[in-house]
Parts: sequence; C-alpha cells; structure tokens
Amino acid sequence: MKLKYAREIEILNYDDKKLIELSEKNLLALNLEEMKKIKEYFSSIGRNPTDCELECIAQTWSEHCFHKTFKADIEYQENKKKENICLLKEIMEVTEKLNYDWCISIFKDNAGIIKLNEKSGVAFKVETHNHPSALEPYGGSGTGIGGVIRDILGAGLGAKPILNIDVFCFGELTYPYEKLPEGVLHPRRIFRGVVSGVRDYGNRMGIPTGNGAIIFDNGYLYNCLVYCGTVGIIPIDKIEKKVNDGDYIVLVGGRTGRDGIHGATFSSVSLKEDIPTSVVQIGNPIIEKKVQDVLLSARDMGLYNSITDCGAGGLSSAIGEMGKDIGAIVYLEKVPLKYQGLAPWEIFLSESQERMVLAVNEKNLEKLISLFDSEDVEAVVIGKFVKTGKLTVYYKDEIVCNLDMEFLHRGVPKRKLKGVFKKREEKSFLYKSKNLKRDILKILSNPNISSKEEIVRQYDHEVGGRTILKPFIGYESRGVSDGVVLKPFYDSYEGIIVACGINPFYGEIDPYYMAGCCIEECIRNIVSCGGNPEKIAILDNFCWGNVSDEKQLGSLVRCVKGCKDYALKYKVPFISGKDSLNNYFKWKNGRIISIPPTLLISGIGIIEDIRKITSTDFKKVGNLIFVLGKTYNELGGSQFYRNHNIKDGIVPKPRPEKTLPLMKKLHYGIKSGIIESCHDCSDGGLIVSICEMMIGGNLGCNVDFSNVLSEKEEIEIVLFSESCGRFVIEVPKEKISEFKDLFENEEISQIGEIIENKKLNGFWKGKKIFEISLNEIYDTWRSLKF
Amino acid sequence: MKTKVPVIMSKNFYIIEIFKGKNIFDVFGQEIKKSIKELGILNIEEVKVSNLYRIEGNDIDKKKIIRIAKELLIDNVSEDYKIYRKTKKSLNWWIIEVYLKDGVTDPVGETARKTIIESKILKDAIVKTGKKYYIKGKLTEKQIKEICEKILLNPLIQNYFIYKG
Repeated sequence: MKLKYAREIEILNYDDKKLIELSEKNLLALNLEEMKKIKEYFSSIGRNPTDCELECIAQTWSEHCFHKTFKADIEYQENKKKENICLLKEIMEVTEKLNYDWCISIFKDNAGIIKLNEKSGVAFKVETHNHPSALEPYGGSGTGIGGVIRDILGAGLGAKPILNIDVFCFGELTYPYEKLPEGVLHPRRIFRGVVSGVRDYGNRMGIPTGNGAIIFDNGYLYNCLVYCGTVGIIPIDKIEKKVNDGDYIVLVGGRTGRDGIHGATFSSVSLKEDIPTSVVQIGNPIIEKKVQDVLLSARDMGLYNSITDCGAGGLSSAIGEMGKDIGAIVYLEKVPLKYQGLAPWEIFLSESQERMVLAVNEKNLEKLISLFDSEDVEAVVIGKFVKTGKLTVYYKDEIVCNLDMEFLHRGVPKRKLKGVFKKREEKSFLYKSKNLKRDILKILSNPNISSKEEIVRQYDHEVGGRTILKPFIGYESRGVSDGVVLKPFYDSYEGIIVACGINPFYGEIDPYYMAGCCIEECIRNIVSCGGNPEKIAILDNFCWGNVSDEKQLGSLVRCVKGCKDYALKYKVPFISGKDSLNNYFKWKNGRIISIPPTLLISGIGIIEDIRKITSTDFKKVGNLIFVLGKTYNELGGSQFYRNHNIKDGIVPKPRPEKTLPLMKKLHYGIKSGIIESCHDCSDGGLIVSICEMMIGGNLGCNVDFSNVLSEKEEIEIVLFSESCGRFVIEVPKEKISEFKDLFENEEISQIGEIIENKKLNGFWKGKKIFEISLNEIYDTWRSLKF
Repeated sequence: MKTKVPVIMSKNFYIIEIFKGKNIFDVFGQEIKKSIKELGILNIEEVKVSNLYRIEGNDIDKKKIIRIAKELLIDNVSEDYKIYRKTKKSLNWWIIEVYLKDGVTDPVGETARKTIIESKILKDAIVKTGKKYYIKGKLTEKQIKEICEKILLNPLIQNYFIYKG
C-alpha cells in the first residue's frame, strides 16, 4: 500500500535494539517491552504502522496520560520488608473505604466533583505544568492555568470556573548566573515569567485567584514546579455524560497549529540540554473566555451529550478517550488550521490550546453550530462516534490511522517496577540559639516565610464578587489568610473554603510523614478559617524526580503509603489527583539531578454559613491568646534548622487521634463565636503565627512562652518547632468559661494577652527575654523584593 | 550590524512602532534596566521598550497604516507611534528587535488582525507582533547578546536582530 499523506514506519523487521532507537529518535518515550507489544499487534494485523498510529499509541500510553508508574506493579522494599503495591489502588482505596455520599464523581472525570447542596456540585482539579514552564515560563505557565480551567469546563457536562489557585516552586533567586548550564533559564527569569504567565491568563479569563504558595529551594533550579488549580460549580443534573453511537464529533475553540507537539511524551522524559521548539504552547485567554461563555449556555440548553478538553495528546487523546467504548471516525482535513503544511499526524497530536471536543446528537447539531457561530467561536464537525470499536482517522481519502480501541486503551503492558526505601535515622538534636531576636527576624525574612504581597497583588482575587475571606485581611489588608472562602451563590450563605498544604523539606527526611503533614496542614488551614473537618475533600499532586531510580520510586511509594494512612485517619477522601514524574535534569556528562520529592495537597471544604468564619488577625486589646495542641521537639526540616544548615532533627509527626477531636471542637468554637481569630502553626513555628496575627491586627502582645505546653521546656522548641496539630487562637475574656468548658481535657495552654502597645514582648517564666516592635516585624517580613 | 535575516519578506508591509509618549514613565524599560544590573552589567544608562506590529497585506498603504495605528493600536493619551519599513540605526543606542518564530502562536497579533479586518480597513492581513529595545550604555556586543538571551527573550520561541549604534 502506497501512502500519500502519512508515512509508513518500519517496525515488523526491527530487532530490539532498533525498536529502542526508533522510540528515542521519535521522542516516543516508550520502553522496549511496550515497543515489542506494538510490534506484536502490527504483526498480528500484518502491516507496519503509520507515523500517525505510532504517535497516537505513544501519546495514549505516555506516563502523562496513562500514569504507567501509578498503575504499575511495584515490588517495594522497606527495611528488608517486601511487598507488592499498586499506587493508584492505594489512593483510591481511601475514598472507597470512607464511602461518603457527598463525593459524587471521583477519579473518573476530568475533575473530582463533590456535593455542595441539593442543586449543585463543586468540581476541583489541580494540574502541573512543569516541563513547559521550565522552557518558556510565560507561555508554559499560562497554558498550565488555561489547561486546568478547561479541565473544569470539561468536568461533567461543563462546570463554571469560579476560583484559581497557584503553587510554585523555584530555585533561589540569588543563584549565580554563571553556575547554570546552557539552556537552563535563571530562577529569576522563570519566576518572573511564571508569575506573569499565570496572572495574565487567570485575570483575563475573569476568574479570581484566591490561594497559593511559593517555595524557593535550589532543588528546583533545573526543574521548576508550577501547580495550577481551578474550582468550578456545576448543576447536579449536569454531571452525567455519555457518548452515544452516532453522535457527531465537534471541535470548538482555537485553531490547530504545530504548537505543543509531543507535549505528553515530552513531559515523560527528562529535560536535556537540547529541546525542540514545537513543544512550547502559547495561550490565548480571550478565545478560552469566549469558549467558556458559549459552552455554558449550550450546556444549559442541553445541546451536547459529552465533552472533554483537548489537553496533552491533543485530538488523539480527547477523541480516543471519549470513544473508548464505542469507536470513532475522524476526518482530519476538516480541522481548522492556523497555517497550512501540517502532516496528518501533527494535526491529530497537536496540543494547540483553547480547544474542546463535544459529542453532539444529530438533532441538536444545527442549533449548536449556530449558537457557537453567534458568539464568534469556531465549531466544526470533524467526525462521528460509530460503534466499530476502532479509532479510524482519514486524511482526505486516505486512512492514516486505524487502531483497535481495545488495544489502544487496554493494551499497555503493565510495568513491573522496583522501589527501595531506606529510612534515614532521625536524630534527636537541639540547636541552641545564640540570639533569639536575630533568629526570629531571620526566619521572618526568609523567602519561604516572608510576605508575598508583591506577587499576590498582581492576581485579581475579587473578580466575580464571590470572595468572602480574601488572601489579605485585617488592618490595611496587611495580614495573610490561611485559606480563601467563597460564596458561590448570591441567594444562599453556603460557602466553599479552599486551602493547600505543601512542604518538600520534610520529604527529604521521610516522605511518609511529609504526606501526613501536608494533609494535616491543608485540613488545619481550612478548619482555622471556620471549615468543618468532617466536610473536607482533598487532591493529591505528586511531583517526583527520576522514578526509574529504585530509591526515588521507593520514596514515592513511601509517600503514597503516608497519604493513604493519614487520609484514612483524618477521614478525608481523595477526589482527584495527578502525578508529574521524571522531573530531573540530565547534564551532558550524564549527571542526573532530581527535584526534591514534592507533594501538594489541596483541600476543599464546604460550610453552611459563610457568616460564621474567622480570620487570622488579632481583633481586640485585652483578649487572651491560647495555643491548642502540644509542641514537640520536631525541628527536622524546619525553617529554623534550614537557616542554620542543620540536616538532623526529628520531622513533625501528625497525631490524628488527638488533632481530629480538637479540630471538631475548634470548628464548633469558631461557629459559635467563642473564638475571635485563629491561625494554624506550620512553617516557621509558633513565633511566625503570632507575628502574622500581630501584623494583621496591628496590635501587640505579651506572651510567656514557658506556658506553652511542650514536650521539653526549651525556648527553641517552643518558638520554632513545626509540630502538627497546633493552632493559635484569640478568646475574649468574657467567653473564657465557655471556652474552657468546650476544650476541657484537651491540650491547651494560655500563653498571653493582646496589648495596645505595638510590640511583641517575649517572656520565659515571667522574665523578659526579647522585645521586638511591630514595625520591625512588619518591615522584616516585607523586606524581600522580587 | 545585522545578525539574522527576518523570516517573512514581503514588499507590502509596514512596521508600526508604538512607544511611550513624552514624560510618560516607561515602567517596562525600568524593569529591564533593573534586571540587567542584576546580571552584573552595571554600565547601563537607559533602556526603552516599544511594541512592534509588522502588518502585511495586499491592499495596504501608508494612509491605512496610519489609521490602524491611530484608531486601533495606540492609547492616545500615553502613547505615540512611528511607521517605517526598515529599521534605522541610532547613534547612541543599541537596538534589538525581537519577533516570535514562525509557527509559535501570537495571540496579540491574531487579535490585531481580526480587529483590522472587522473594522474594514484591510481585506486581509498578516500581523506579527514584536518588541523593540533601545539600550544605552558602554556595552560590548557579547554583553548585548547575553542580555538578549538571559533577559529579553527566549531563543526557543523568538528570533532577534541586533542593530549596533
């Protein structure tokens, strides 16, 4: 058979060595076993594949789309104990075991959906866009947020995006330029590009950005991390979607170009020093905004049966996924192009942005096309879902791809991997501070703790008018909030709280406890805004290094085990998740540098009444300050030790059996108005929480740190330990008996009082040990210039 | 000195350069000046930034281009424009022009193109957007290249042309 438009690729006569060469040369990112499986399939049908088929298989089977590592059989060894484990099953087991009726659509759609009230659900998804952002920070990060917004638009029959969240990890901005290898952008450059890329896309879409975090560490020099998340609301009767036999395939939105080809497979390999141009995508938020508006009105009119977004893998992945159980015929020459000259496989795999694929019944087709037309959004029929069980793609009169859906989606050989985890011994260690005041100020000025106002202010957090508790609060909006509270509907007081937890520094000591701490931090943040600990769902986003290395994979398994155990203990279900593996950089001399193991837990909580929430700023002179929870000698990975370059110490351990009941009481306390302000204790320790509350309230306080309930009576532990399960709260004197009744038998300690004088007076057993003025605290905390 | 030849060469084109008017603070220029100093290049006196629109079309003439610039592209209060076909060198300034490579999506150019057609000034057009940087200071060409690749552009998606003053 002579092909006019596609190219036949020889594999039938290839031996193992040549198969691997082929995979590497064409950026397919497939291993030998997978290449052999492809060869076996094509020998069974007696022909060679076309370029389009091979690319299509590579995209569908890529780590990015298929999550081979998470679905693999892993032989895991931890301290001589061996077991077999499947990571995805572990995560899903949590949700299955908890079995909440308010979790509506979990792990099957583009985003997780939970119930908000009888009429509506909330969809939440967090994505990563690391590789593209490392290459072209502005375009890469912009399309990251664009992509996750489309995930929400493609959840159910389409949810309306109402909030974005962003979490970034960069190398330190002061890193010397000359030490970076050629082709790697400087962290400052990446930082500026990413911040403005996400800002421009989110702001132009008219979606507020309400929550996030930024972490600076030199582990992220070569591979920055960009997490983008979106929350959407959806009517409950629009969640079910189904493609029917005979539905038309309609492509809507942007045009197709050569951008982003090989994105999915590319993100499954390491960054090297030479990269093709075509992997970069540039976003166009104006088109996406138009698509969003017209799509939601088409949804309400019931004009389509199913929808998905064109993300990684482009049309091949979107249509392949939708027609998985039916089959599809596609005519590529009908796809609107940005410019001529694209090969069929390029059209089929291009990751051009702002495109969605709909399945439309014949009777609605005309109406739908004219609706999109009236809003100046292109909508074109490019094929049909037909019950053939095959993915058949034409270009003009030629079949360029004809694959069995069964093979495409279920033919992937299961990977068998090995992971080893060797626990690093945690040494109990205590570093004595030589100058407390200096250490406190040093922590406050650390980029990971200090105010990010300069960045956050660039993001619109008000647009839409739904933001109740904003990122900035208190006096002159100086204080920072633990999470964001939204009021999605104008006619009801129901609310959504969103917060996140991330701390890669614990992961370097033990990823198991990092998972626990991140989950708890996320829940703590939500609860301290007034959230109900029994109505929280979480998302996991794993960013790991080179997982073909047994040790790296071992640490990933260890982290997943932590996620499972602690999620079950805190009774929070996972509703969606994503992994981005192979975040490593390969130097020309073969040296491999992996990123620090990073887990982001994002949480969403539902509350009945947004009037019963609280914020972190101190409210009134004379009110008493309490610490809930006990402090332990857990300074491992803490900001204090990092400032002094100490690698030892014990990493914080979550104690759900104590913390969960405490959080339930705290929720009641906030709801009934006993507690006037509440801030969780995490990065930097108790002292940072107190300083931030002072900044927010523009008030001073007297605190006797020896009153803090602590494992050991040492000032460094009390001030800087990052133990879990602690909150700083403010209680008015007249409510003190009610408060004490509520928290009877709990580990609480009264530590001080709010005063008029704008100073932090630190005492130890009645003796004054330091005094810092609020001005100094505020100026130091704000000292970082980006 | 010219380092590379522009990618599109058509006779029917004009370039509109849009820059900040007199006494208007050039915030982008200041930002770039700051970044250049962070690179360790301290010999820098001033940086100015303009936006470029390279407009190509069959029925194009100077009058229409002026309409496009005045009616569609500039902010009459704070911005001014220049029209030319060939970049002129300037005595004391290094000039760097940056354009997106072919095949890279240019959303601003695309929106400008649509607007030009919708306002019926031209029947059809190709619009490419770019940036023009004016840099003053005692700098070597090597330093200019370093500034380009580390601050002004991403060689992965952009082409640039340097004109020495």
